[in-house]
Amino acid sequence: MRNLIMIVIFAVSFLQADATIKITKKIKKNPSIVVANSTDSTVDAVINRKFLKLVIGDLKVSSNFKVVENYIDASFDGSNMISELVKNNTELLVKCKLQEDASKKLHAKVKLVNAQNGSLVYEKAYMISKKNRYPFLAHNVAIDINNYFGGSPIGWMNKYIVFSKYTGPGKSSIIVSDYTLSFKKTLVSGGLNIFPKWANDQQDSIYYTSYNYGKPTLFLLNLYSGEKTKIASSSGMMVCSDVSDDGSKLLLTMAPNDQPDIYLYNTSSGSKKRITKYRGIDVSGSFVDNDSAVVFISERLGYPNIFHKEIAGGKVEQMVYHGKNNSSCTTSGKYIVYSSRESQNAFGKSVFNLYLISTQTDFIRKLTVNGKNMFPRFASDGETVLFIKETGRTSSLGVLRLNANRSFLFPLAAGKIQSIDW
Amino acid sequence: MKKSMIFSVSLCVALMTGCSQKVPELDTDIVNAGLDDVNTNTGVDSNIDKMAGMDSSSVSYATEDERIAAIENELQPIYFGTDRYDISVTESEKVDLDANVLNGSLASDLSVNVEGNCDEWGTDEYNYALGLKRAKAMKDSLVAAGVESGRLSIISFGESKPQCYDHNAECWQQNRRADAKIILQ
Repeated sequence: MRNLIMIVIFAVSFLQADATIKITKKIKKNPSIVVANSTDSTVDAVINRKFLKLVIGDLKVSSNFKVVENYIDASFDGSNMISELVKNNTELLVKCKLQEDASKKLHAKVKLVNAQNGSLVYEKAYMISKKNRYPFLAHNVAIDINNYFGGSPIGWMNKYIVFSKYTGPGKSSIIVSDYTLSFKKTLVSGGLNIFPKWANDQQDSIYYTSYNYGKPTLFLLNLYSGEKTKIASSSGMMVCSDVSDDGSKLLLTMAPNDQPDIYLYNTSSGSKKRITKYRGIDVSGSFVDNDSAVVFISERLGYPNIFHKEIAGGKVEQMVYHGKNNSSCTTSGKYIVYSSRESQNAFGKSVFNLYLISTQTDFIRKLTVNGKNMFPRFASDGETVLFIKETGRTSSLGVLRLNANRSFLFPLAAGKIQSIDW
Repeated sequence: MKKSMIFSVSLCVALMTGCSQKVPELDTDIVNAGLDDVNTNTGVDSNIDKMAGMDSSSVSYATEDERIAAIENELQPIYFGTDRYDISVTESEKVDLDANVLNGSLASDLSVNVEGNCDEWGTDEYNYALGLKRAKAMKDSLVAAGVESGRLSIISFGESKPQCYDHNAECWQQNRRADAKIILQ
């Protein structure tokens, strides 16, 4: 009997820990929350409205709150008791007040209030030096509210996204943005510039491939100094697929002998080591197992699929046994999210869908259901995946919250997203 | 001076070729029809015929760009199947024609970049690698058809340089291709 109980406890723990299993029944109830506008007319009304919408959106994306869709008006220093909120059993009220100082810095004052009894939970102040970066003010407000209530971390909202966008035939720009595409700044333009990749956790530099120097050439660009350093070039193709956690090693896809293979590049010495040697296509290397091995895409079975190999050598191991066209993937611990082409009919409902697998179980979880869903990238929290979605002629950034089983889309106004990183 | 000399030589060769074939007044359609036969049977000779098919009196290129444009106008893209990088029998005949153009008097001193391209179905590294393998397949076929390998380099543009922007199968077919492009000196 005791053994039976232990087995049940173990099984329940195991199921809860495995994100490949869709959890549809939640025990914990998400608190209801409403956002209030407390800003006066001295602040740009458009920015204020967008800021409030972003706070609401961030709280929804966190999936840890029951968020009231529209914001209300409430005096910042006035009463915290709002009868309608009491009547509707709304649990939390977030009062937000934007202010612009003489040096054009944007400030946000925030009060988090228990809407049922009017007591102040906390009061915080935020500031950003450039007004057009107000989305990050909103993201910080949401992150702090979420952290206070112990929701699954959403610190990734404060990270920059870097992406390449096609602007015409053989032309693309590299842009840095927030995860909602509300803030955007073009970093590189002119010619073909693709596959940007953050060089470190500080997000002060990127690697990217330029086609403007004869051969595809990999550059390291410091975003703050503007210093651009040539790293390597290769005939055929050159992509920085991954950067090790400490930034000391890169996984490059190059074709010095007209053959696309994965190479390990040492950023200190500049030395390169060829990791794969298949005569077909090997691309998209991704560090795993504390940077001692790579997961990569290969067509060695006659179609693109996902494989694993120790950097020190040894055999190549197939990782995914589902689908016949799995051409991109991302890894986080024991999890792999990959894109699988499911129909040759481009006009079909589903063409590329994302799937989640664990390397330790046989479960497969389908994460998307329609359109072209590609280029998945795990966030550092291991619970959130950023991806590119195309529906019709619209290109969007997608955010998947794995544990909440929810996804969100942020469309790009014009152009087609080529690749992303965060 | 050097350029003028090259153009003069090219002009003379073209004129001489034209005279030797005695076809300056040939109707273009007939020449093209004939070319297919010659090409199938004799390979390299077809190039001479094709060059002769041009109106010799108009072979005059004021600039290197014009000369390159004239050559590239003769080159044909090689098309590929979905997710494929092998060259079909039909397309390989076009590679032979391209090889003849590249080995012809007008182009034989020039280096060539073979560009591999893909349709819009993919935004990842795999698509760029697929484009590269298409370029490599065309390069290998050109070498097999007699083009010196040292003149050829390859590059992949993935899905970044579509020829056609419509969303239909015919359009995507046009974008799954490899092109031989003259490298500007």
